[in-house]
Amino acid sequence: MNCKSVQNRLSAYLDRELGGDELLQIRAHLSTCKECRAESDGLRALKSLLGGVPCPEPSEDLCERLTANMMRLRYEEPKRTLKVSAVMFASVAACSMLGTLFFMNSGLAKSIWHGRTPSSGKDLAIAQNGNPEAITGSDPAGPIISAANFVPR
Amino acid sequence: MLFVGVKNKTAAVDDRLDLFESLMKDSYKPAYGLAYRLTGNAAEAEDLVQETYVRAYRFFHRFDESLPFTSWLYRIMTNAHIDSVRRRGRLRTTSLDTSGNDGATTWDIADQDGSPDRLMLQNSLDEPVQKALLSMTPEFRTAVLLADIEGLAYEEVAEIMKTSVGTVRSRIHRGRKQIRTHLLKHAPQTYRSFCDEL
Repeated sequence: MNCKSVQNRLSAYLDRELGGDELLQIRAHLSTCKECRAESDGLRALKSLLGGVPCPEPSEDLCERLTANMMRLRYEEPKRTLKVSAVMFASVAACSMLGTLFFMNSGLAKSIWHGRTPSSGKDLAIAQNGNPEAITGSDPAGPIISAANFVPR
Repeated sequence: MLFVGVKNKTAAVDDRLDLFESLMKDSYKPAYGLAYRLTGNAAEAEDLVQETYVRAYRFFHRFDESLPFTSWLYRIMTNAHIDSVRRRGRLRTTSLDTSGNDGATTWDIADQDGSPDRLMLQNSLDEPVQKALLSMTPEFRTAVLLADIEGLAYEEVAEIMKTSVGTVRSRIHRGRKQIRTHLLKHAPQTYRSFCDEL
């Protein structure tokens, strides 16, 4: 290993991040190379300097402010969720109402009211026209149940 | 039945939030220390700490309790810091030659008790070290701070910075060399005296 390769690995070497052959090769090189040893000592001093940098203290009320922030978020987030739920509920309700209106206007409701569930295209046509006689080839075997003979179950 | 389910869920959420508050109270001081070194002044450091905890709170459901909270928090903080630097479109590139001498730039340097020579030298070097840190890109600065000031292993730094160990190794090495070059240029006597004291 030459001086350049050794010097490129010196930080990792000093941080004990190397192992195996790489570590042994650098250790052997440093024992014989004065220039790389000086570089290693310089980086070790710098590492020591950075490691000893004092940790500044935060202002006394930082913890209180952080806690207040958390409280605000804690009670705001559920409100936001509730708001989303309310919008979803309103959308579903609006869709249901529109569906009901469409259903009422379609004539299907009349057919059901007259006690017959339209099961064929013909029945649907009757339901829509409200007049079975108008349907060509209406089925005589299937009399329309009118309000007069309707017997509730 | 439904109400019991909702009640249990609410209790679980409350427990989780209590856990978050407890972790926050245990970690905010070292978090502030890192934020201070990343930003270089108390006001920006406090803003960064607040932003970090807000983000952490919102994504706390993704936190894996089997892992250290600070590593997860520092990842959020370093991302928030890099975002903030990019958003503002500036790196802190205050002129290193003039700052401190022209009276226009001031640096908040922490006070420290004790007066042995080495500590005194260390305190004298605190300001040039901070300036050197701020002259680096946020990626280099973060890697050096996490390794040297927080004392994390390269693998942890790589995990926090979402990069490879090789990249971390290179950033730390080049970052340290930049700091040393800066100290030898701007505080040569103090730095040499400090090295001699070792």
